[in-house]
Amino acid sequence: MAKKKGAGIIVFKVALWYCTILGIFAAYTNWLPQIRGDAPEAAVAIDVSAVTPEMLQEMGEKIIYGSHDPLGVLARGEGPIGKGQCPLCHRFFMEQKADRCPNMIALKTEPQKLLQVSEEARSHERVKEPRYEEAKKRLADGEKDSGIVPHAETGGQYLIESEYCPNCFVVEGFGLKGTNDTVSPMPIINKPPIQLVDTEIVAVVSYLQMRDDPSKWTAKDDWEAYFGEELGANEEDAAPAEEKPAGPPVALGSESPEEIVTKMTCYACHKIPGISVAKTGAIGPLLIEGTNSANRLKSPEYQAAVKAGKAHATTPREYVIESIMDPGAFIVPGFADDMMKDFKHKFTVSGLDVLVDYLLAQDEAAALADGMDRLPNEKEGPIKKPEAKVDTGEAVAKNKSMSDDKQTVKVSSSGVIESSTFIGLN
Amino acid sequence: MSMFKKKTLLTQVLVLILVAPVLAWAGGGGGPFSAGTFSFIKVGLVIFAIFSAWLIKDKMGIPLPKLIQAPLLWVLCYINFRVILQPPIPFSLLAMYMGVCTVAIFLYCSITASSWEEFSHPIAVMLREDHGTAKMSRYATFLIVPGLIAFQTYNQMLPKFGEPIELRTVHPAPPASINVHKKLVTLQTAENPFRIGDDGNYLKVGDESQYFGGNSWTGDVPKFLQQVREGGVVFFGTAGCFYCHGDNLDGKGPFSFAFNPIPANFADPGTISQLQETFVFWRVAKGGPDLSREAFPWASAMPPWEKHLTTNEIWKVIIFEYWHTGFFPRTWG
Amino acid sequence: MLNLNGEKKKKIGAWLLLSMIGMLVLLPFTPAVVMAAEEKAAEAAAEGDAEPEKAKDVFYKGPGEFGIVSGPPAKEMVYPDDYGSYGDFQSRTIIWIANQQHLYFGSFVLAVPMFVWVMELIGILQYGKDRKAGKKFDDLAHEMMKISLTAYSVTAILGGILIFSFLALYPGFFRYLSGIFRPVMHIYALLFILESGVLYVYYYGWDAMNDGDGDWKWSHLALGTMLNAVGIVLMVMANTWVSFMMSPAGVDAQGRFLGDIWKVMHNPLMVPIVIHRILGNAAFGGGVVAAYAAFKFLAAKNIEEKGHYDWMSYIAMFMGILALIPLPFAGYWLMREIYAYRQQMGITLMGGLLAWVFIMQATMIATLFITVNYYLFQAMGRMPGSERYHRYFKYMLAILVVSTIAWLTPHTLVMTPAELKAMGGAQHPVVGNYGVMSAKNTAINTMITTTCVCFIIYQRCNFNVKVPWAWKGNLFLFFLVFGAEANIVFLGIYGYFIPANVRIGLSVPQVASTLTVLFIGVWMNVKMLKGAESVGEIRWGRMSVRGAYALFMLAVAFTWTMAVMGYLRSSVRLHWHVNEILRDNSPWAFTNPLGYAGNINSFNVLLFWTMLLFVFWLSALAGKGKEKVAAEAAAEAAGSAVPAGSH
Repeated sequence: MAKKKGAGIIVFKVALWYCTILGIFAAYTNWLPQIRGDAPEAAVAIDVSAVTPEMLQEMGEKIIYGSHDPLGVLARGEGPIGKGQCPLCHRFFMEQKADRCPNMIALKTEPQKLLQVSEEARSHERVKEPRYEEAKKRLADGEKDSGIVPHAETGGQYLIESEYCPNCFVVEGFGLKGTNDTVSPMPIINKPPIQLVDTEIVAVVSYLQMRDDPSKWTAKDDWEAYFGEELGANEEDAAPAEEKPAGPPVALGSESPEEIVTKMTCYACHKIPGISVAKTGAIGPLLIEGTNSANRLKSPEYQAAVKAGKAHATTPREYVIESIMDPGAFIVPGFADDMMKDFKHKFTVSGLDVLVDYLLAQDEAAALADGMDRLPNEKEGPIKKPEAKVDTGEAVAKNKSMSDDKQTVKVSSSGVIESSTFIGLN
Repeated sequence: MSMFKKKTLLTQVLVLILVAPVLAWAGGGGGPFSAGTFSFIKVGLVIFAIFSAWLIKDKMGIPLPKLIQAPLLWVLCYINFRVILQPPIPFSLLAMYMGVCTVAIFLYCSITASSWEEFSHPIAVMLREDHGTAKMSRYATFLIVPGLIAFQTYNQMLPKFGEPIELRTVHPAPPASINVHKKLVTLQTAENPFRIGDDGNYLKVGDESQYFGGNSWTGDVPKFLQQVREGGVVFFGTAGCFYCHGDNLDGKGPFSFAFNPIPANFADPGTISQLQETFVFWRVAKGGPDLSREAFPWASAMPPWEKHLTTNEIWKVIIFEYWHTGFFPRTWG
Repeated sequence: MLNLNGEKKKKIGAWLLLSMIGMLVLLPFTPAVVMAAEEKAAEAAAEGDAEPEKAKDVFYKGPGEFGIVSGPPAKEMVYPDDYGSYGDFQSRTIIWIANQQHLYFGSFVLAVPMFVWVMELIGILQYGKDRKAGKKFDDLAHEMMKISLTAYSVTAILGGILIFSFLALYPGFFRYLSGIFRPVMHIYALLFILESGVLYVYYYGWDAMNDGDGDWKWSHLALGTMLNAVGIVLMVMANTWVSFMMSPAGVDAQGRFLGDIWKVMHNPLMVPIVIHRILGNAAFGGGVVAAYAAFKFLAAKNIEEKGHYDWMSYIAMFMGILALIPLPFAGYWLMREIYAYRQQMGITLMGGLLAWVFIMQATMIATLFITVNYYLFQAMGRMPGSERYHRYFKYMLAILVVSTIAWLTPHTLVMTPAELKAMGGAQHPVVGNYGVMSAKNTAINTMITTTCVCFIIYQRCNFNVKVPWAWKGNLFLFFLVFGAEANIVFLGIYGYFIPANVRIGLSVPQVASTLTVLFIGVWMNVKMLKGAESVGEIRWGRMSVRGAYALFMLAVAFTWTMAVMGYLRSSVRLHWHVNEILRDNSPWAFTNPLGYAGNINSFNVLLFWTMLLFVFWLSALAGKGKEKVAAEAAAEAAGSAVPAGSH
């Protein structure tokens, strides 16, 4: 204060002071914990007129695989399954196991070039097949489940039609057994349980078309030509999908067996008496565990599996639990090791109880009452044979005696592992 | 200064040295004092320190230059926050406190013209004067200060193997509404259906204090206590909350040691008493899996109880938790 | 002076002017009246045609719940189409900076006329008693106004930049908002013209209408009243847009306007934010003027000039603090309203995503109060006789520091898992108690009370109290302060034992204690100083350099606090343009972390002060010729005593 200073010096000093304070404040904020608040993903609301093929393709990918990196998901040993659930039955990658329905492997993902034709290219062939003409004639009054009369003219229209009406054309050899390839195992995609909306179906088709060659995109035009209306015109009514909880679906004790079967998509492969959605599954055995489980426990194949240390069940109840929680433990003769391996992550204890109780209550009589029969490849043979009926009575009696002690934990024949330990409860 | 005064001073310093660790131990939780008593003792200690400083400076006439006082005060503050304050506070808080203390000590030294003179004069001498002592101290300063900075930088650059700091937002913002058992619960407006008084009507928050301390296990109890009892059954039976949250709801259940972070302590005034009942409902029903983005890294082992309990059971257990801890849910009415 | 002779003519002229002002005030509302009439007519016409569609209000309940749909729904924003961008740069940051700068200058030109009005009033009232003192205040007001005038045009320019940024970067959002606020925006623009007109008349008519404390001067003050009124209305209008974005009302869930613009404007958070803003603006304006004066103080060439600016900075700082003291309470009220509006929003702010911003804000508030006290300590350097009180300073500082530590302790501690285990829980048994509201309320009230005591000491430190009941008065003051503080601490501790909703109510008696010390204490002190024997005149200009730097600190802290709270208020909407109605679908919908906000804030503050420096320089340029006269006036003013009790 005693000395006179120039204004410049004072400006400099004041500026320095300011910058120091500001620096300290900024540094302090940077030292405090940093949390970035990301916006949650916006609900999918698509303006159909503005949407680009690329956006549709991306959306389709997500619907099919539930991820934009399906190969990565596969590499982690999980199934890349989105809300469309397509890869449950269709094979999209060589690394994937699924042969219930026609494969959809892309050319570029298949290095051996065994399959020289893409789904897009193949779709154009399908409409020209004489079998398609037959189907058109046969279903001239409309397919009974979807009410659609097959009338696809291009490959794209065919792909769209297949989603709204899987029965309109069934690829040779992929129909339900005994239907002469007239009934498809595939559910109707725009109805429950999968229930995709029109735009989502177009997105799935877009993905299929553009997978090998992005220039082949015609899905939207095909849809509009097929239905003769503008895409998205009716979607106003469709309520916005309720935000789905994160993570895989989990079967709960509070749910009915039917709900669990639907949620876990058992019906994709199995027929189950008394469950309305599970009337067509033809990949896995008919689930009449009141009858089957006791028989299978006794079967030499099962005993072999026990000896090999793979299977450990001693009661029918344990057998059913084991079959759900650890499907690879024992494969019913005549079937492949096809069943999803992740159910042990998807059931609560009480949810599993509900399903197991239900399955154990089903027997041959129930199957007959519901008009179901075993698949031809089941060793036991059709229920309708007279000698099978004798078996049934025996099995039911045995089942009754065994179900009494279902709570007791028994040492399995291998004598090492307690029955409850293999229930991979998480 | 007489011999007597010097002796008094020495005794006081000795007493301080002897008493401080004892008090530190007492504050550590193992001692006979509770944290509250301990903080009173600490206040007393501070007053005692001020008194002795006054005695030394004003009565005994021993001046302590500001330049010495400043680092001394700083060290005392550090000892207070690092050693005396028990259990140890995290480094981030310590840094914050010491930052405040550093600024405060600087302000203290420059508070009046004379004290600023007293504080800055030796520094000015050290920087400017040309005689031997000043030069020596100047060189020493210019060696020590960069040396300290270099040491600190080296320390910072050393690879560290400690667990990373996990910042958890303890009370993340809840969603506007949640879907529990197929029913939409709007968290802003929902009310606990079991908060009922003797007349069967809704019991205003705060009015339940009349039931605090009551025995809910006798046969004929008011409606509210019946709900408390049923909530208690959920807490100790159906859901088994006590495994983690403890018999006394203090977050010290038999399993609690296994969790990191440890389970919430409902007896702490910073948990359920800070929150609306609907917030607690959200946490119980949805558990760790439904934590929002800001609650990253979602470190919560709380299961989504909606999968095991009914909506009513959840509401009842909440009633029980508030009743047991004697807290009231937060309201904004 | 106008050429009007005789008292009567003068009076007529003044009254004419006043009535003109009155009419001018009504002018901007004419378009609204016309528009309302047109709307009525349109409604009547529409009634004949068809039943108007009714929809439910998102906020209002009861009889006003349903309104006639009179606007399009909020369009779903689509990223590339509804947003503009400059490369990869965050569009939002550009808007942020443009908004903040406009707000700074807007607040400044809003706050300065408030001061000027008070200064002018004091000047007029003093004029009768002491012409010199009256003129001194009047000149001070005039000088402040000069700064404001240049800043005013900068505000307008920045407003233009802001609108262009909106149009360029957020066209979709702007279209929606302007669709709803169309009529208000026009009134806003018209009011702005009115504001300019009044401002120019007010400023350029200063000398012409200056007749000491006559009718012309009073008319001039009336002009000032009107300037302030229009300014506040402008601010309130702009504020409704912002509070609508936070807490929409008057629209339905799809964002359709329901026909009643007042409901849209009077949305749930509008009033508390307005109150908070007015107080904040006043504090900020005080800080800026004080910093201006502090700079002039440092650069002054002689002791007279130094004295003038020392005095000016003191007055400005004092006005700023007057506004600062109620600010925390207005803030509590705002928070309460936010919780009442959406619990979710409240928790995001106080306990969730943005909780750390409050730690930053707490730091700023602690900085403000400590700085104010430090400034007062330094300012006592100019008071002869203040040495008697020096030994109390350190205890006051100690109380402030202890309060600060309690005030700053966060509820959620940052710690490593090892530290967590060592502590035995997320809450520390001792310092955990500081993390809750009870402790915070106690701390801030203690800090304010300490500041009051500091001010009381400042007032009396150059006097020897001579009233015969001096010891009684001192005893009363002593018990007043300690009683209030004991009450504050007791209520703070009591707060731990009662439910949170009751605890909130405790802040009222705590605040009452603080305000009692402030008003009764200062009043008592002034009474006691009647006829007191002066130890020596106030030596204006003898404040230490550190005091001037403390004022800079104060100004920066004010500016920075505004910036960080703006970030907070804006961020709490999370990914919404208009909360729960119009979603932000741009890639910048995320909430930036605090560190980024801190950097931008520091940049904003620096930019503002650089621009302000330019404004100061401009006003200095304009006054260059008059400098000599001003210096002489200052010299004259510095010579005259200003009773400490009169500020």
